[in-house]
Formats: sequence, structure tokens, C-alpha cells
Amino acid sequence: MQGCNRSQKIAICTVGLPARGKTYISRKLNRYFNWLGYKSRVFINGNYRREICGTECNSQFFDPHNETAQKARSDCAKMALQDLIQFLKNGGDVGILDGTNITRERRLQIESDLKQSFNGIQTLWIESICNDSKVIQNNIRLTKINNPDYCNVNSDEATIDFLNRIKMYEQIYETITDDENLSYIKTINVGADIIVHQVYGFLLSKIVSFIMNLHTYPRPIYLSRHGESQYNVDDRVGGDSDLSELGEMYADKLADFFFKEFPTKETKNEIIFFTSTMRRAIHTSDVVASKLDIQPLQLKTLDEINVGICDGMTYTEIAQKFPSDFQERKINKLGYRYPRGESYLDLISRIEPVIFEIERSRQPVMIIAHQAILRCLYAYFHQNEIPEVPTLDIPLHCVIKLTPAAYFCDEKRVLINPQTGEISIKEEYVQEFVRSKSKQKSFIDL
Amino acid sequence: MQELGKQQKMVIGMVGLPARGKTYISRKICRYLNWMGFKSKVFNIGNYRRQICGTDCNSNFFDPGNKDASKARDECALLALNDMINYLRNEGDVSLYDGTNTTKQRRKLIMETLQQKFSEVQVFWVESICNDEDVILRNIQLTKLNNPDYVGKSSDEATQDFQQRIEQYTKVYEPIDMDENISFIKIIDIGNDIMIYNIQGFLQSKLVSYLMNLHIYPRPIYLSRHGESQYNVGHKVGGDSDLTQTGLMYAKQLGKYFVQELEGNRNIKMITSTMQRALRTSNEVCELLGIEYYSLKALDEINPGICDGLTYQQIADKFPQDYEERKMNKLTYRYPRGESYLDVISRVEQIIFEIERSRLPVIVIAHQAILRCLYAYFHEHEVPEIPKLNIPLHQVIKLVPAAYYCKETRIKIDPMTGHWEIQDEATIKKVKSFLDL
Repeated sequence: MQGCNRSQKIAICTVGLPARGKTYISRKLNRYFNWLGYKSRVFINGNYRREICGTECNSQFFDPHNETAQKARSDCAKMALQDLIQFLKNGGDVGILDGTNITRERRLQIESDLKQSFNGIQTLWIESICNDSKVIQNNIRLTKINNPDYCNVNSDEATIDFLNRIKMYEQIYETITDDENLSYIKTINVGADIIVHQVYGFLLSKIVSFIMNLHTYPRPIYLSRHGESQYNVDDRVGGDSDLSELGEMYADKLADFFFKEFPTKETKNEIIFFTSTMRRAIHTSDVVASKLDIQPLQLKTLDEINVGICDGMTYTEIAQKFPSDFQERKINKLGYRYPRGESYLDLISRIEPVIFEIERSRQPVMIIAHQAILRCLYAYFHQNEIPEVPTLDIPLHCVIKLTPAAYFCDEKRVLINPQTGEISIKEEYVQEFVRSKSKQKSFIDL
Repeated sequence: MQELGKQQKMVIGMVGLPARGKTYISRKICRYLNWMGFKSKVFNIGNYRRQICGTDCNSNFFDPGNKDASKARDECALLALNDMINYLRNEGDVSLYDGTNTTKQRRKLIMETLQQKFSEVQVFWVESICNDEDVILRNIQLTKLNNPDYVGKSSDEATQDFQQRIEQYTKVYEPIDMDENISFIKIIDIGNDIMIYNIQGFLQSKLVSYLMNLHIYPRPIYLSRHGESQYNVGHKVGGDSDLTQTGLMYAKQLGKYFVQELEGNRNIKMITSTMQRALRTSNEVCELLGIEYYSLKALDEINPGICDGLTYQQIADKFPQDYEERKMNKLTYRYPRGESYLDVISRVEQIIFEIERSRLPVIVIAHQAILRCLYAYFHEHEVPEIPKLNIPLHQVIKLVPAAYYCKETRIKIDPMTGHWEIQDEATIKKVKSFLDL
């Protein structure tokens, strides 16, 4: 549906005390928009402050009575906003301003600056409120201790200083009220309670649905292709071929792998299991299903990309029969649509409901599907750039386990030898601590 | 995706003063759920009250101090509740409990009764709050004055009595509070403000998205197939054929129709598929109107898989078993390597949201199976009827949503002469809708 309503610029601003998940929400939304095809970017007030004022700012810096610090912070905030406006002027579609913005005065200023810069810009304010001290402590532990502000401080000191910083902000916190005349969404206690005020429009309505489904439960997502199929062996595209002998062996070994991953009956029953309606995926899933005694849901939305008139051909045959299409696809694999078939962009649009379902789920998710489909799903959770999608490496006979964490996604690849059952594992834990220390840029550079 | 919601039965309870759109909302939700494949039914407490206590109840009947009347009304509420539970036990997936349910006590009673009699059910509350006097007055005029309660009374008398009835309810009204510990959505001033609390599960999540897109702007929706295509002439299914001469002429006449119909208003939204025949038709219309269209793959015709390019006769010869299967169950039958009508419904859901959301007139130029699904949604047809609905070529279907139903007008356009023939189905619908709640 991204074809609709591209003309309007959108600015989203966060509101809330520190450690309320504003950056988490901004990043998630940013990911979602970019994945849907909108040019979107996050502008983090905190990063501007770090660059300009340095990172040795303890909680005193945030005292509302500290005039010099206040001026400095206000200047930084203005710069972030200016950059956002510039981004929108230079072709951006969605700008996200990630900052505390806890006073009416600040909000009204930002709203007025935005409305003046663009005719017809849509602005949306997202306030994150949290009264659950456990959640806040957890947030601090997960994301603040590794923050560049505390790189020379031990974690206990860091926590105390950060809690003091929050107290500074609390002194002047003014929650959004209706008379400020802003379109806003308030999310309270991680989406348990949501208030929506004057939010209209295609994209803004989608944002509400998206935020409703966000949570911070760290559940794993398992992605695997079906076992090797007949068409894989013949190097053909499309079709609805069945598994080859090797493919069947993979299905067995895959079932064994999952059997070990989910040892108890309770864990097994929790699994959300999706597959497509194509033979090769169904047969692979059936083997896993019967070993674990669970039922997969067959979704047509997970069917492999439709290759239209090229169905059943090898790449060589396509190159011979349709040379200009073959060239076109090489140049623009993302946007190229097979005649009577689909493009990767169509695929991304098609699987959006599945993305929502996975985001919403707080239980482990298992998906057995196809290469193009998994490229799209993987790219969304792993936060790859869209142009990379058609060339991502999703090999046969490999289980990819993704565990979305605060700002990034941990990945574990389990390559299973279908004949011997031998397993080799490649892990990629995102070391936020290492990243933030060595490359300060990375924090700004979202 | 609807399989995900099948796991649990659900009760949706409405809350709100009279004339706040509760019945409108419950009917919309019921329509949406049935269309999506969840068997749903609305249980309107007012109807039970009318059946049991008669229709000669003036506002004093609703005085909270009137002990006999209160007792009678409580009984009606429980009767409706019982019928609702039976429906869920037997064939239903979702029941809508359409009543005012304005006190904490009543809501508590319902939650406790459900817990006792049918504990596996999920309960979700929808509260409609409206403070805009104009909207309330309009609601009363549109839907209450024709209510059986006021047969034989003048509209001024009826309005006054109804407003008094509202006052009776207002005396005891307690909006939903978070400490009642229930999942709810509050819709305030037709979506100006929305509050969501404790939403759980696939279906509740979908419903909230759906409800956020509702409004009461009476904008028209125009549905038309592409002009006659080569494959239409050859009686073949599928394909991506172009328009015939006749089809092209229809496209031009269609453009002329819209020029006249829209009377200079170009603030409209036009969507079409990615198939040649629809694109060409849309092109012709847009050139005349001077607007742009959006081409969406979601509107592409049903995919007939391996039967693509064959005539029905050829399908019967080549795949006799499939041919029989499709005849018996046209709704669920999926063409091998293709789609079923159920797949199309799933695919087209996002379009429904788009159309619901739009406050501008919408023009959809698409294909037979697609339009059958869209039309069935707006016109409240039973899902099994969808594959047989009559959506002929060279005809525009104009739907204008009214209080509880859709006013339909069909405009047959002759491609050669450009002559229009208008068929108005409005009146028949009106009588049916009220009793049929």
C-alpha cells in the first residue's frame, strides 16, 4: 500500500522521562517506515548533546536551574530539529525527533517550527509513560550503562547518577494535555494502556496499530527454508515441487534440532508455527510438527515469490528466452516484477501482516518458508537496508535464530548437514558496549 | 490469517448512553468479522426489551427509580446474555452484546455470569462517548424516530421523549474505569480521542485497528469492472489481456459518467489493479478527470493457477475433478498454484481498511472476483454467496453508506451509445434493516 499518500511529510516527536523507551520506539518506527519504503530517519537529541557538550555530563548538567547547561541543551535540541527539517526538505518522508520534550513550551516551539517549515506537514507526538520501577530499572541496565555518557564509570555509580538525572527531569515534567492542540499517542506501561488524540491519516493510523503491538519480551524467531526441493536440484525457479531425498533428510534433522531446543511440553505448546501452502514447505513442516506434536498454520502469505511467466525455467533458460528481463532484474532485483508475477517490493507489502503478527507475539516463533520470503522477514528484524534484501544470504539447510534485543538483533546460524546431522554454529552477538566505546559515531548514526 | 483468531470465543460488550452509535459500531464490527470468516451475531438488548415489555415504553420506563421496570430490564439483559452464550457454544465465534451497560454493576454482573457459565470466553468492551450535541441530535433523527418504540408519534414528541430517556440513563452512567480490570477501547467523539486498555490477542488487536478507521462521513464508493477484455470475449480465465474495442469505449463512457457525477470535485481517490485491462480503463477515466490513480497488486484478479488462459470448457475437459470441486464449493476451492475466494478476501482486507478510512469518494476499477469480495463486505452479504454475486461488465455500482446499511445504485452504461440506465435499490433495504438487527 505504500503507493498511497507519499506526498505528505511526517514528523514524529517523542515525549517522556529518561528510560521510558523513547529511543526504542523511535528506532522501531524508523525500521518499520524504512522497510515499507519510506525514507525515514531518527534524530536523537541526546547524541547532539553528547557531540557538542561531551560525554562527561553527570546529572548536575540536567538540573533545570543550571542556566549555562540549559542553554547548551536547548541549542542542541534546536540543531537536531533543524537537521530533521533539512532532511525532510531534501527528500526525506518521515523525520523522527527522539528527545524528552517534557515541557509544554518546548513542544509548542517545535510544533510551530515544523508547521512553519512545511505546508501541510503531519506531526505526531508520542509520549511514553511508565510507572513500573522494575521496567525502568531494567531499561537503565540494558541501555544506559553502556551509553557513552558512562564509559568511565562503573555500573552502580552509573545507575545512581542516571536515577538522579531522571529526578532532574521530573521537576519540570508536564504531560501532554489536549489544549496543546497536538495529535498525540500516549503509551503507558509498555502499551498496556494507550490514548490516541486526533490522529488521522493512513500512516498515522498504522503507527497506532504498530505501537499497540510492541513489547519488550525477548522471544526468539526461528527462520528456516524448506529442505532441498526437486527444483532446487534442477536449478529451476517457481514451481510447486516436492522435497528431494536430501531435503527429506534435512526435515528429519531439523525436527531433531527443534526437539532439543524445546525440551518440555510447555515450551512446545507455546510455539507459534507458520509455514506456506507449498508442498516443499508443508512436507518439511509436517516432519517437524509430528516430532514436536504441534500444528503449523499454513499461510498463503508465506508462499514463495511468484515468478509469473518464468515459472519452471532455469536462470539460463530465462536469460535465453527473456534477455531484456534478465538484464533488468540484474540491475534492479528489488523493484523488478516478473511479468504476471511479483517483485520483492510486492513481497514486502504482502508479508506485512505476518510482520505484525511476529511483533505482537510474546512466544517463540518458528517459520518454515522460502528464500525470497525469508530474505524479507530477516531484513526486517535484522534491520538490513532495503536494497540489500534481494541478495541476502539465506542458504538451504540452515536455521537462523534471531533474538531481537533493545536496539539490535542477536543472530545465531545453525547449519545442519542433512546427511550426517552435524551442526555448525555461527553466532553474532551485538556487543553494544564495544560498539559504543570504540565508535561513538554509531550511536548517532542510526 | 484469520486462523489465528479461531482459538478463542469472544464476547464484545458495548457501553454508552443512547444515541452514541453503539448499534452502528456493533453492526460494523459484526459485518467485518463475518466477512473475515468469524461467525458473529449482534444481540441487541433493546430488541429483547421490545419483545418482552412491548414497544409502548416512554422515558419513565427507563427511570432508575422505577423498580418494576428495572427488574424487567435486568431480566431482558440476562436473557440476551443466555442466548449469546448458546450461540457461542453452538456455532458462533463472536457475540456482540449491544446494550447501554452503563453501570459498573451491570458490567460486573455480565463478567461474573460469563465467568460462571462460559469461562473460556474472552471479553472485550467498546465504549462510545459523545459530547457533541449536534451529532447526538442527528443520530436521534436518523435512527430513533423510525424505531418501533415511536410508531404513531410525531417526530418532535419522539425526539423529546428520547432525550428524556437519555437523561434517565445519564443519572446513573459510570464510564469504564481501569480498576474494573477489563479490556476495553473507548471511542470519544467519533474517533477524535481513543483509549485502549489491556488489549489481548490477534482478534482484539485487529478490531482496534479496524475501529480506529471508522467514521460517519457519508462518502460514496464506486465499484466498476474494467471494460470488456479479449479474454472476456474468448471466455477464458486469468491472463493479462487488453481491452477490446467495446471495452475501450466503455472506459471512455465511464470517464464521461464520472465527469458528470463528480460535478467538478476532483478531491477523490481512485485505485485499480496492476493488470492491463484495469490500467487501460483507469487511464481513460483519469485522462478525462485530470486525476491520478493508484495501482495496487492487492486488487489483481483471482489467480487461477494452472487454469490460466483456459476456457471453462477446457477446464472441465482437462481437470474434471477440479471442475466438480469448484462447482460444489466455489468459496474455498483453491486453483492448483492459484487462489481461492477466501485467499482473495484475505488479500483484499487492506483495501477495505483503506476505503473505510477514506473520507473522500473512492473509485475502484478492478475485476469480478475482487469486486464480489468488496461488494459483499459493504452490502452485508453472507460470505458463501460471494462467489455468485452479480457484478456484470459495463456497470458502475455506487454505494453510499447510511445509518445501518448501504444505499446502492447501479448505473448500466452502454459502451456504444453512452446511454445510462439507473437502478435504485435503496427503498427495499430500508424496511429490512431495522427489524433485522
